Amino acid sequence: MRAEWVVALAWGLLLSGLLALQFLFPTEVPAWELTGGAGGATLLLALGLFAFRRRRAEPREPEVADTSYSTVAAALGAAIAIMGAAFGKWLYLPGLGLLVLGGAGVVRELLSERETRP
Amino acid sequence: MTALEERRVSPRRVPRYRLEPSRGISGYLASTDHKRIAVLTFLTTFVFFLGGGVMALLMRTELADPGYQFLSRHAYNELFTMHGSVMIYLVVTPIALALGLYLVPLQVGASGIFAPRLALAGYWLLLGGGLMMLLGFATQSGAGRAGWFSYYPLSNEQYTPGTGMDLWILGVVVSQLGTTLLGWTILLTIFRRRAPGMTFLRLPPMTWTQIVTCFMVITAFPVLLIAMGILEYDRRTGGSIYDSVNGPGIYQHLFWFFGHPVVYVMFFPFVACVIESVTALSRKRFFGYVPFVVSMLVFSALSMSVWAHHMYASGFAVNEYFALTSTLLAIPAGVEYFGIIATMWGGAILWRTPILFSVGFLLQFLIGGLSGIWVASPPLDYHATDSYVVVAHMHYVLFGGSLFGLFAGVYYWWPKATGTMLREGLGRLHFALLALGTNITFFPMFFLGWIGMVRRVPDYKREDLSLWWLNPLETAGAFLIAVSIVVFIVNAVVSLRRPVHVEDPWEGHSLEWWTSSPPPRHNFDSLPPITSYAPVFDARHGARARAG
Repeated sequence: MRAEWVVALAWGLLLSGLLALQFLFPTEVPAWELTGGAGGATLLLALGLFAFRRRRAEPREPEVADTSYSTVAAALGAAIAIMGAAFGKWLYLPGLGLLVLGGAGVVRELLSERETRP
Repeated sequence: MTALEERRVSPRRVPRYRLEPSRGISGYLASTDHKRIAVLTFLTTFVFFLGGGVMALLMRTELADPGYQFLSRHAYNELFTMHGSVMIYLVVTPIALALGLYLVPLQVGASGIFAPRLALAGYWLLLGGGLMMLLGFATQSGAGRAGWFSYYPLSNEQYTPGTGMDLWILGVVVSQLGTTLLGWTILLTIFRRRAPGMTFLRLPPMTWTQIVTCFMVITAFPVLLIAMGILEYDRRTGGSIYDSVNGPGIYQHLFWFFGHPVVYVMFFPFVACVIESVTALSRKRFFGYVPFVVSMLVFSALSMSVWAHHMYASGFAVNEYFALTSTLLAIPAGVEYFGIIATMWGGAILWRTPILFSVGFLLQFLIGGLSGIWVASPPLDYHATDSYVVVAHMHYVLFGGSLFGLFAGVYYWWPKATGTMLREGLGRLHFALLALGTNITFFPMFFLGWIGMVRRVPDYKREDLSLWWLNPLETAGAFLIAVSIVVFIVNAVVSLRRPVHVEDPWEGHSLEWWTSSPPPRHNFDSLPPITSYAPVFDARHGARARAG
């Protein structure tokens, strides 16, 4: 079995089966929604994997820069900005600033990697 | 050369590729190498584990004797909340994924992880969220104190005011967002980075457990983020969503839709640790690979459909369906147990530390699992709910089970990650102390819970509890556990400072044992033919052994 979408489909169908079982043993609306949501999301993933399925193994995986300080900055920026909800809005500015700077750095890294790809 | 071509080759725009890993701590902290991110996650979660362990020791010391010793009710509430939160959100869940982060690319024959920056961001969000949760201790109101589940309305602004609780909620959001990113990168690595020949029915058990674990992470964890987002919104605005008639029930559904699958996120990868170490150290192929794969898919799907057994006594759920699915869990669990025992049966077992921890896992998780079937029955659960029976059950699953599985994996893969051996004598001492401490601490809780000792209360009366003297015994057991962890740390330090170099001491079966120990930055210089889920075993023993 090579196709990844089959694995996602199998799991999504199992969740759908459990949703169907909830009609035999009635549960409450939130339970249908949650099980149905998870099953539906997995089936969508299967569909996405099918649509973008891999024809064969990639001969060479893309090389990535060994370090990415921009990623660290973006992640910390996001965390600091979210912490602003507890400590005060003054944290939004440094947090979002760091997030934007880090994000720009990541974009720059990705563009550079693309340029050097054979 | 045109101006455009000149610009394209200008040194300023050429990225600083390094095929060899960057040196120094800063290179480590920002590395895109999946092995380094995994090691960072391990170290970070181990520090969190020590912190959560100290909180447990403080609680057990308080409980050693009736009355209030040194903790106030408020402080005790903070400690049990943060102990549970740290262990679940910041230790066992991320460490389960860290195993995947390290091992999956190696086991599928990839040179790296899919979207390594996403994994790196996941680690930093996990760390940031964890620190945010713990920062609550430094606030005037103290840390979060509404339990690791923080039911509504206990967790609203009226009953749990203060910045500490907000930090807890936001910390959970940030840390679990990080964990979700880790889950996505592992899953997509399995889907998109497998080596030629590595079909799904040739994936090693650890990789299969990571597939189902990541399915649960990507479908259940976003629901927690939503639940926590609404909770924080309600706290900010004075309550408008969860404050409705069905609001508290909806919170519980949303929370436990995450809260039960996470138990299996904290279980499946550790079962794989046991399977892989038992298989290699029994000198056999794993018994019943295909039934194992099917059971993992069924087990994980079922585990997405049992969450409301945490709500039996709440009246917010219809119990019959959840009792049925919870009891059905015993079937796939039995398939896995059978596979592990049948693998050991007749094997030339090498009784080294990984297999000791594996056997400890099997026996102790059996206690946790059987008591789980017991509390899966609503009438029995009504008696046990909110008592120490549940505490005992949960700790036999997560501590007696998952932690022992983790240590089986740590002793098994330590040589792969470091190129050195952990000391066998210290490993055996670690196992003996931990097994003794675990059972002294948690087994008496079944009896105390049965006669009515309730959870989350720092005091009890001797006249109300005929077996009250089991409490100081449990406290002694908790300190024995602490000593065993010190022995492990000593073992790790000794092994790294005076290394005994090895390459493949266990004669492992899967691809990670094909490469050097520790593996190079790009993981592999070559790959063997992949014709089964144990390609290194095949290469070592040939097709004849495979047929046998």
